[in-house]
Amino acid sequence: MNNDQPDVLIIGAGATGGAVAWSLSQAGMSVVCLEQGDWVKPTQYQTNRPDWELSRWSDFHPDPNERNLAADYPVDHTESAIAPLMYNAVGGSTIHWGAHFPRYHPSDFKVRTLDGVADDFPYSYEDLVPFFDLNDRMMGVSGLDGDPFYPPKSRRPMPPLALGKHGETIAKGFDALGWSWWPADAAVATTPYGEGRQACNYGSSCDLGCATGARAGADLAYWPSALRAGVVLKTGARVRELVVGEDDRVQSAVYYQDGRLHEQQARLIIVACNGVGTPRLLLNSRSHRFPDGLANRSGLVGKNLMFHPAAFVTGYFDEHLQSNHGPVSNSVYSHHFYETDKSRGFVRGYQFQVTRDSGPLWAAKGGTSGERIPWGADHHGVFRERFNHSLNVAVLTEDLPEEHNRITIDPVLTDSDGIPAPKATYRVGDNTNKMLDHGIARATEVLEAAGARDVTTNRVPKLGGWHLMGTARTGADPDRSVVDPWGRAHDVPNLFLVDGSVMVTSGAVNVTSTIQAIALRTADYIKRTRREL
Amino acid sequence: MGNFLTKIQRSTLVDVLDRIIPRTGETPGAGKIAIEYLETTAAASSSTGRVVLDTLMAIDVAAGSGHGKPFADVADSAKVSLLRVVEDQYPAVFSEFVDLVYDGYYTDPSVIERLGPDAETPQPRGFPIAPFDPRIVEKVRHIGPRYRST
Repeated sequence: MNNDQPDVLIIGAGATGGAVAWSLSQAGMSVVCLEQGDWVKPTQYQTNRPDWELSRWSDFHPDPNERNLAADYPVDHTESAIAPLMYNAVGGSTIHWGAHFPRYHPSDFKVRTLDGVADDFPYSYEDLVPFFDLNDRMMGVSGLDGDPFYPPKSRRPMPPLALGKHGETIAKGFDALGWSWWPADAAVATTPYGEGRQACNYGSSCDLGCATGARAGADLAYWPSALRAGVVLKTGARVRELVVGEDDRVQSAVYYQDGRLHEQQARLIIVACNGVGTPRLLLNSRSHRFPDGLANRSGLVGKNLMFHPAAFVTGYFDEHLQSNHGPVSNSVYSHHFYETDKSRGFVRGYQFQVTRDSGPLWAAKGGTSGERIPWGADHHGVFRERFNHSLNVAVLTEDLPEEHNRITIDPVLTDSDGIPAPKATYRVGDNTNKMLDHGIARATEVLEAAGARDVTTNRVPKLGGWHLMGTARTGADPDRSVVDPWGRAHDVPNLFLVDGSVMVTSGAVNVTSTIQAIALRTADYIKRTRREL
Repeated sequence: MGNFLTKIQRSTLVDVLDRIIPRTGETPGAGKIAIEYLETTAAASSSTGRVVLDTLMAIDVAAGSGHGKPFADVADSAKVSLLRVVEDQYPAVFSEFVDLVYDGYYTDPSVIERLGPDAETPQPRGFPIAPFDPRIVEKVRHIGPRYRST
């Protein structure tokens, strides 16, 4: 392979970069990938050490500003209600995730048509089904067939995770109210799967890393096969800018590795740096051809930043619920309030994602409730009442795109290589706040129906930017979108974007499954049209 | 003298820790459990060291202004109230201090052992859980399609 001029250069080895690298390599295309992070070996996860929980507030902190590892870049979120969270490594943020793996609903692709807000995606749920299915097999998804919230899906690759006392308790609450629910689709193996992945042992705290490999990441699911197929993965390689020619074609990426500046050329470049990193790179790539940033003639690069503003509603129960027995993010969910019902006073909807707890330190510090157990004489008593007696219902709302919510380049802040850092500016919208009001009230209702003696609410926690979307959205109209329906930049014919930045709307579900499916669809298009690109 | 605190500071800190997480019955307080963690962490990290020292100094100042004596000599019955005063005056640093105490206490092997199997490190053993019973979804399965057609 000619590494000097491969067919494709991918920037970012995370959820979508890994998927696309694998897909293109299976077609015999030559691929180089630049990743600013490194491999994280299962032995590096700390969940088998007595002080494992400390990593949540240090080298495994979800906020890169707090974690501050060599691979991380800072994000100024002082003017954002929500902090963007991410992990920089081979596997990207799937190194540091709960692996809850729902798909967008069919309606999520047509919100303009159905509800008169935002814009439609330029493709449908049905267009993505083959890629959802392929991705489910690659990632190794467990779940249960027959979910009434979705059109019939192909058989889940593995049976569902056990619900345990925790999941069964909240299921009774939903049943008592006549509200629908379902066991989670999870990128967590329930049988031995893939290349050495063990079945989940219900050890909880997937977000701090899974030493057994039961929880999927792009590092486990896609990269081994991609590397065998010849993909060249360069780690510790941080891209500063993309260089464009007079023909508006992108020619190369300029990057730092081992303290030195390098340049990597390619026929075609794919950016997969997430909904913050991708606009950062484009906005940092200014030239006389693109004075406002690469591929930004629409002016939309960085705009329409979407998260999933959430509220954690926590119920405390008299009985021991084994609240930390099992994957933290994958108990049951309810999409009962997912679709628009205008009598509620808002459009679109939200999901309930029931989440588990972690270890004793997490409980002492308040867990998802954010209410630390008080110090003093009552401490031990309250700890006993709460630890493993709690049940969390996360209200995850659909975030409508608004241009004032955006990623820009911070005028001062840089990373350790001197590359200008991104700045997030974000406020929670009116529609979302109404949704949160409704969701918090309903979550309280279901917790009480399940038997909770006490319920608390943590509304829009700052550390809630798990899903980064919308900052270079897709569409057919070059004036209203950054990339075309295949992920190809309107302004730069050999540049593709494949991460959460291309999302037109956010849905109200965790987004990795859908962005990976979209990325695989883009890869399929590249393979089919490679000679024309 | 240890690596970070004077003898008097260490003694005061142990006393304070036992007010944050007190000893009750067989359950040890943080004075015995967390002191080593705090001292080691404070010595290793300047920001943590500052939290510990700022808290100790604020306590000393409050003890002097409120009782005219060092914290160690304040009556046991008044010590918690004094710490509440410091917490009200310096909420940010005191909150960080309490977090540090919890960090040290709830990651100590003897505390984890006392809390039982559910508090143990999750890997490599994992936790027991009853297998999935598909009958639990029968009620929902029969409600029919709930997705919105496009």
